[in-house]
Parts: sequence; C-alpha cells; structure tokens
Amino acid sequence: MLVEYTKDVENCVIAVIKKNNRFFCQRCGNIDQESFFKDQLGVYCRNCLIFGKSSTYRKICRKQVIDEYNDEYCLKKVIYLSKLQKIASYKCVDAYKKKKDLLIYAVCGAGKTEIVYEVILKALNDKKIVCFATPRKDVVLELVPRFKRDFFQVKIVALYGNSPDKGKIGNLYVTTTHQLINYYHYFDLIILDEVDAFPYYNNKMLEGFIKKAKKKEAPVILLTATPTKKLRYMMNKKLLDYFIIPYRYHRYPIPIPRVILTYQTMKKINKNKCPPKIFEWLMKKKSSDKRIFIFVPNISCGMQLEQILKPHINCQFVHAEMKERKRIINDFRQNKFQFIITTTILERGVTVSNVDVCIIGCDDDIYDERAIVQIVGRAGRDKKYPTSDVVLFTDYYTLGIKNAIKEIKKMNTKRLENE
Amino acid sequence: MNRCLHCGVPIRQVMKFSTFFVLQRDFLCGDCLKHLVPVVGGCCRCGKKTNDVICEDCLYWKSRGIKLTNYSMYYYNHFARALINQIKFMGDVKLLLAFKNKIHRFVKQKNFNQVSLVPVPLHQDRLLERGFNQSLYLAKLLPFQILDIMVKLNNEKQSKKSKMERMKFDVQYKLKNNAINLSNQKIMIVDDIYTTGATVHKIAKILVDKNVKEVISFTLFRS
Repeated sequence: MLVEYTKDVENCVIAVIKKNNRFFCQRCGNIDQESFFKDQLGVYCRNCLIFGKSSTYRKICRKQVIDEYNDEYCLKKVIYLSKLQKIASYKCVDAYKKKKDLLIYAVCGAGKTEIVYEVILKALNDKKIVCFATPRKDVVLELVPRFKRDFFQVKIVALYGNSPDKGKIGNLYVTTTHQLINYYHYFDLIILDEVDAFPYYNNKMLEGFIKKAKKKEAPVILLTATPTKKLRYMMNKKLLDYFIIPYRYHRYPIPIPRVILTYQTMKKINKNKCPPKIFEWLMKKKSSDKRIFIFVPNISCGMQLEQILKPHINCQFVHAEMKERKRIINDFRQNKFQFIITTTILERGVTVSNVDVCIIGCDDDIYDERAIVQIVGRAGRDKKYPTSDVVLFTDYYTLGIKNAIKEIKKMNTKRLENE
Repeated sequence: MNRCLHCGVPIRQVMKFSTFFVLQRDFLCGDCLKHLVPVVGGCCRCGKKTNDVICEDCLYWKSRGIKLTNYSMYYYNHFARALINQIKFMGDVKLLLAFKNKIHRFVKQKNFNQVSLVPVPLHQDRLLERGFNQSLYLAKLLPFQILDIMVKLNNEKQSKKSKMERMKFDVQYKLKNNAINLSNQKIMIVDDIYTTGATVHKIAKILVDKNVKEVISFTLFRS
C-alpha cells in the first residue's frame, strides 16, 4: 500500500489506471507509454519505481492530515533588507494574495532566502501550510538550521532521502522536490528555490510532483539566479510575473571572470602534468590568505589533479559519491586547508567568505552559461571581502563562456542604472 | 529515446553494418555492461571460482547422490547485486529483458537441445507482493518449452538463512500433480541466482525421483 498525505477527503485510488486507452500513473503523473511494463499481475510504472512500485494491482491511500496551529508566528530578530529586497518581498506577498505565480530573478548572493521570509510568515499567520522546495539535498540541510534560528514557534519539517522527520506534521516543510511525491493537494503556497538546478531542470516527473502537491489554486514562487530558456521565454511573452534584482545585498558588483587560454589542459592533466599557467596562478594564490575553489569537469580529472598538486599545496578533493563530503566542506569552511578541488556539486548553495575561484577545463560541455554564472556567484559574497579573482582556464572560447560574461556584465550595468 | 534500464543514461546506438538488416536494441549502457563478469572455468559442476576441479559444496551434493550440472552466466559481484535488488525488491521485471540476447548466445554456445524448463516457483503471498515470478520470466527468455509443475509450500526467504540451514533437505517444494509422467525427459531448472545450490538441488531431488533422464540448471548469477 502506498501512502500519500492530503488535505482533501480521505480516499483510496488505484495507482495505475487506464484513461482513454492509455495508461496513467496517478502517483507520478506519467503518461509516457514506453515507461509502463507488463508483469504477471498487471501493469506497472517504471518512472517512479524508486518510490515504491506503483501498478494496476496496488492502491494509493490518501490520508487526510489535520494540522495544529499556534497563535502567532514571528521572526526572532529583525532582518534588514535592502530597498530592492523589500520591494521583492512585497511583490511576493502580493502574488500570494492574488494567487498568481511569480518569478524572482536575483543574482547570486542577492539574499533570495530572506526575501521570502515575509510571505512565509504571512501565509503561516493565515493558518496555511507552506512548502519550501529545492532540488538539492545540500540546500535543505543548509536552510533548516537557518530557518530554525530565524523563525519563532514555527514547526519546521525537513524532508529528504532518509530524513528522520518523515511523516511528521508541521507548518513549514523544507523538502527536496523528490519528497513531494508523498503529498497530494496539500500545500497552500510553494516556494521553489533553484528552479534550474540539476534534477529539477527538464524533468517532467518533478514538475508534475509540484502540481500534484499544491492545492489547485495555490501559487508557486520561483527563485533563481539563472533562468532557463523556457522561463526567459515566459518572461518575454509576459506569461509569468517576474521581478529582477540585479545587485547583491552589499551593492558591490559581481566579479567579472578573466579568461586565460591554456593548451591541451585535459591531456596534460591525464599525463600527470599541470599546465604551467594554472600552476603559476595557484602558486601566486598560495601566499595570499584567500581560500580557493578549483572546479574540474569530472571526477577522474579531479583525482589526477589532487595527486599532482598534493606535494605543493594543501588541497582536498570532493565529489558527489564521497561519504565524507559533508565533513570536508565543513573543514574547508573552518579554514583547515586552503584549496578545495571539486566537481559541479559545490556550484550552488555554498557560501564561504573570502574566496577566489577558478575553473579548469572550462571548454567542457557541462560548463554551460548557467553553470558558469553560478560558479562565479560563489566569489565575493561577503560584505568584508567583496572583490575576488575569478579565472576561467580554457582551451578555447565556448558559447557558454561568452554568454555568461555577457550576462554578468549586463547585470552589473543594470545595477548602475538602479542607483 | 533509448535509455539504460539500470542507470537511465541515454544509450547511443553504434552504427554497424548489421544495423541495416537486424533490428537490435541495447538495454544496458556500456558502463553498466562493463561490470558484468562472465563465468569462465572454475568448478566443473557448478562454475564456482576455485582452483580445484570440483568444489566442496558440490562434493557434498554428490555424496547425496544427485547428478546435476549448473550453467551460470555471470559472477555475482556488487553490480549484480544492484541488478537483483532492482529486479526482485523494487520489482522491475523489465530489466530481465536486457539479458535476452546474451542468453540466446549462451544457449547457442552451450548447445542445449530438447530440454524442458522448470522455473523455481514462488509462494503465492510473495507473488502478490512482488507481482511476478522472476524465474518464470527468465525461463520465458529461453527458447524451450516451460513446464510449470512445481509449487512452493512455505514463505521463507532463502537469503535470510545461514548456510547450514540451507543445506538441510527439508520439504519446501512439491509437484503440483504427483501423477505426472516425466520419465526420459531432459530437464533444466531455471533460477536467478545460485549461491549454495540448495534450491536447485532440492528441486532436482524431486525430479530425479520421477525418473527423469538428466537434470541441469541454468542460473543468471553465480556467487
């Protein structure tokens, strides 16, 4: 038996049904006939298999949840917002009242999370259930302590794979988008962070989960620093309300990346050699007190590079398949070592002050425009150290590099217009 | 688009000369296929990785007077474990299709002829829980006739038992119809994984009592 939580009337439905001669999975909303397969007893859906088998001989039990309210919710301390943040915050509340979707397009480090505080409180005080969804587990883990620190009396439920909070009842749900599969017509407001991040982007199943989890009329507020093509199209055609914040909360410009051309970077690294230009840059940084992010395109390259650089500098490599990943990132934050080599997993949601950033092998396919803008966004986030050096080492200029630099420059000029 | 059944990565079909004539579809991607290790050599009776001609387990079975040869396709490594997990515990039977071509090639190579297949049965409760019998599906991929003649009596999990418990000859399986005539038939027992050989030998014993000509077994993985 599969379980879903709902605010509607309690009922049981068959998980996979036949609609107009086509199979339809009620759990994940899948209608792609290729991903259904017949077994001895019936037909099952392969799309949402990791969440438990949903098939024609199984039922989804939709349990009604009655929630508990406190009298009044508030912030523990006053949070100061910049002028544009205040406007954005007001726009969010407005969108919530009018039940319309809204896109907040703010550069990296503009303080997107603080913007939505007001609308969350507003909704909670109206006795509504709010969901803060994001595609990445790391972001959930980082946000939950922050929310717990800032909100007073709010019951926060953190949901991710293997989380201890599963099935608990609260007012504010901080979840990964995958976990929304267990909710049906449940939330009155969904705030979706990092809309363009990896599993959510171009994933119809997860988009379906959002639609399924919210109540029919409920608004969705999208937060992003790098809108996808589809979102840009919708902005241009005015299909979606949007608001742009072109500068960071400390009003310094985003650092513009320098491009340094190298020769056959990947080949050299595979042969256990470090290209001289990269080595020179790293040695120069070694004497400074800044910490360095080194982004590499894939895991094998990162391992090679760690071996090459270990004798010269104090460095560590992290990638997604590592168990100690959390510990290493924490060590880096506490300044236990100066250089961190990483794949794109640290591209979002990581805030470390006083850093320089470099990308090695920037001509790789995975560094598209959005990835580069996000990585550049890691630099200069702190008020005390607003400038930093960002370098892209590449064999040749790609469209992604050109567009990313153009995008950053555009946002920086918009900042000047605003002042 | 054609995606790998295990990891979901899109598969790029390699264009060969034969592509124009034969409709072929890959089900697993190159990275996944790399992890499958085919069984070569080992014990002459069951294919276990050993330096002896015959392994200890087989000597034990032999002393009990059962004549059986096991044919396995791949060694059971941690990748195989992930596959079995996906098939049996997540219930994704489509993954078995990935082995169709390879099984056909294997059968041609080993030159089995005129055998009848007996898939290892599944208990009724487990069938309702899982939705299919993986041995029956595996048998369907083999180009021989299937005899569905066995029933399982209890709902115990083989994987939760110790080796000594498994090796005991308790009654777990039964013929559906005791009057069935199987004399002079060549029978192949089909299962997904061969660990100690207990399941296969228990069924073989029942069949041997029915005067079959020869019993062999086919399993996908050999641990």
